[in-house]
Amino acid sequence: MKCVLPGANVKLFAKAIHCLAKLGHYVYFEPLDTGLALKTVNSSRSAYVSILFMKPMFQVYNAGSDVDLTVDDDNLPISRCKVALKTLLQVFKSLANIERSVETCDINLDGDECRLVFQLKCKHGITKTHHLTFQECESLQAVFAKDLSPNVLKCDHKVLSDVVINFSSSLEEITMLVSPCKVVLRSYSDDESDEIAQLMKTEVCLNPEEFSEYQIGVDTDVTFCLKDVRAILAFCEVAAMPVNIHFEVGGKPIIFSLEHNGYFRANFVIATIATDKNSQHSNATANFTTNTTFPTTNKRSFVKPSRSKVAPKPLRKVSAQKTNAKPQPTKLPKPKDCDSINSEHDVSPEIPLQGGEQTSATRYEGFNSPSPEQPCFKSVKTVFFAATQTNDLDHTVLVLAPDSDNEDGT
Amino acid sequence: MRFRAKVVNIDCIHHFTNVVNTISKLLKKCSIRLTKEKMFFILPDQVANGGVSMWCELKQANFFDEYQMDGVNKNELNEIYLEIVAENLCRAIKSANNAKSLKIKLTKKQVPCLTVEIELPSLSSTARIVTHDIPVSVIPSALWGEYQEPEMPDFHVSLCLPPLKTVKHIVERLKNLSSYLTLSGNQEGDFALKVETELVSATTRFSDLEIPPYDPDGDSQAPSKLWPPSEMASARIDVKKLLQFLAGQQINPYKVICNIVDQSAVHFFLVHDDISLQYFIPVVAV
Repeated sequence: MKCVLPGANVKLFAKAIHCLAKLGHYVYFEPLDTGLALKTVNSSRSAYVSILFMKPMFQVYNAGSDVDLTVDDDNLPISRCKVALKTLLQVFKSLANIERSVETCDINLDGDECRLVFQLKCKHGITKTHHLTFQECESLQAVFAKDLSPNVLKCDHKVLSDVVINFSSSLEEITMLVSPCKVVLRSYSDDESDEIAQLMKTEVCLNPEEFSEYQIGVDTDVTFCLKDVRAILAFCEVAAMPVNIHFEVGGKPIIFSLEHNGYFRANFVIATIATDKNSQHSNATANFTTNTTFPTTNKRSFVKPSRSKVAPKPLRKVSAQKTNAKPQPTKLPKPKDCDSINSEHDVSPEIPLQGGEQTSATRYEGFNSPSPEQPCFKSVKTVFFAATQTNDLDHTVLVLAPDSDNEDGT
Repeated sequence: MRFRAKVVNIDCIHHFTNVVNTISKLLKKCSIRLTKEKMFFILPDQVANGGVSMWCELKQANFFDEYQMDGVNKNELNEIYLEIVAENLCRAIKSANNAKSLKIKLTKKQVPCLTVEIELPSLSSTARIVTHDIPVSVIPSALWGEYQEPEMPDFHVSLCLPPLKTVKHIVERLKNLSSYLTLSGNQEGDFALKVETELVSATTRFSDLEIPPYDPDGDSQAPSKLWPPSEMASARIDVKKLLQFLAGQQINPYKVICNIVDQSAVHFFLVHDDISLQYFIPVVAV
């Protein structure tokens, strides 16, 4: 892979890296024929970002498919790699500096030295070269159907930024209620205890006229992580494009997207909390549980629920939204090591990722056939895990281990 | 008990925001006292606060375009006392930076709340409405005695301070040397800020400061009358508390009067058209 970004676009690239750094730990570089894609997913798999810089944004773009000089140990061409965001952030740390002095940015995948090389050619003849180690990886692709969402909102990013600024900076989650006549954004607290009643609650009401496109197919309310959205809005400020929001109901992901035809496309997929009234159960759990080729560089692997090592952490069952009938309002202690629980669950709050081997994967489309008689619980705060499909609603949660080659001793 | 008030003028909104910001920098939890004429922000003197106390009153007519208050009962208890976390109020009012109107009312959601409703300009015909519900606790009338206006202390020296920004700068530098600072002044207009440690002693002096006229009702026994004019009255106070007071200032008062009770307390009195703010810092034992 070899590409050169002109100065004007380096700022956007840098801001993209900043945004990715707020969400995930690794950025996956995927040189495609259409352009260079940067992707990441957060450790709880409740946020997935894919930013595609298309060919016209580059001065030189060579995805490396024909003339491939970069090979790995087995002499196979390396096409995808992932880099730690903490390291990459060092390259693009100061946005002001980049805007002021960088003239071009060369990105090279150096197979001989096994390094991803970023060379920033700046004013006054200064060249900054960074050699970063990378890891080979598989393609990271979330399965979502943006175009099938019944609810679509499109507005200027400023509208959202102005609204979000009214909420406390420590607020974790926000609820958005939509109806044909208005949009209400409300601070969300998932606990009805006294302590929470002491917190300030904020609500902002928006008129549909503020949106350039306002299509509500289903009156609903979705609750998602505000911190992620703040990171997205910070990126939108630099991108200066209108934001499209696609969503359906609680439990299905909400997708923020920016698009400039032919140049740039960014999709931010954020999980939403599944509520009682929307019992979403897809069989797409199989999607990522059997994905053995999925990189498990994160120690707390997505795919490894090793029952033997980690005691089953009961999930928090919280009574549902105030508007709905509540199931059992029993509360369970928060899981400490959340990531490791992730296997056969109702996937609704999580974003299913496409992997190497999918068995009975039902693609996570806009519309799933809900399986009956399955309780749906609200998930833990920003770690969106659904409860399991136990019909006996006791305090423990059955998390079944999938077959996995990586498992030791299972 | 009912309370609702509305501000429409953007300048008044900013003014009110400044007051709330100043208050929130000084204390965490604040008591609000509402009467027909005035709104008070009170922090009574408690050991928990390190002995500092604050009293701020503003005439509601100067801020609010509409103001309706019905207290506990119509007769002697026609007032409302609430306790609120100052930071919440500050955060809520922050939304009103360029608001079309600001409404505050007492409501009961799950708990009694002060609801701040802000109308923001928007691209569409209807304004954007931001609503903040701040939980408050109502203070029962039995405890109202604790929230009385503090009496003017029997100070020995009273002077008008030099511009607060200058004083703040100096105190910020002096803070690095020690946690205690001695404030002293005399009736001839000299004022000094002194920090003393084993290794170093640093003093900043001001002179020819204005002496505010204050006649303690012709009481010739008043401590200030008995105090020799050139003698410096001093008080050793916690520098952090002083800095908290100086750093949060957003009101821009005409004058800041500093009353020193020798070896006892320092009393700051901010004078402004619509607001008066008093802040007491007790002396720290040596």
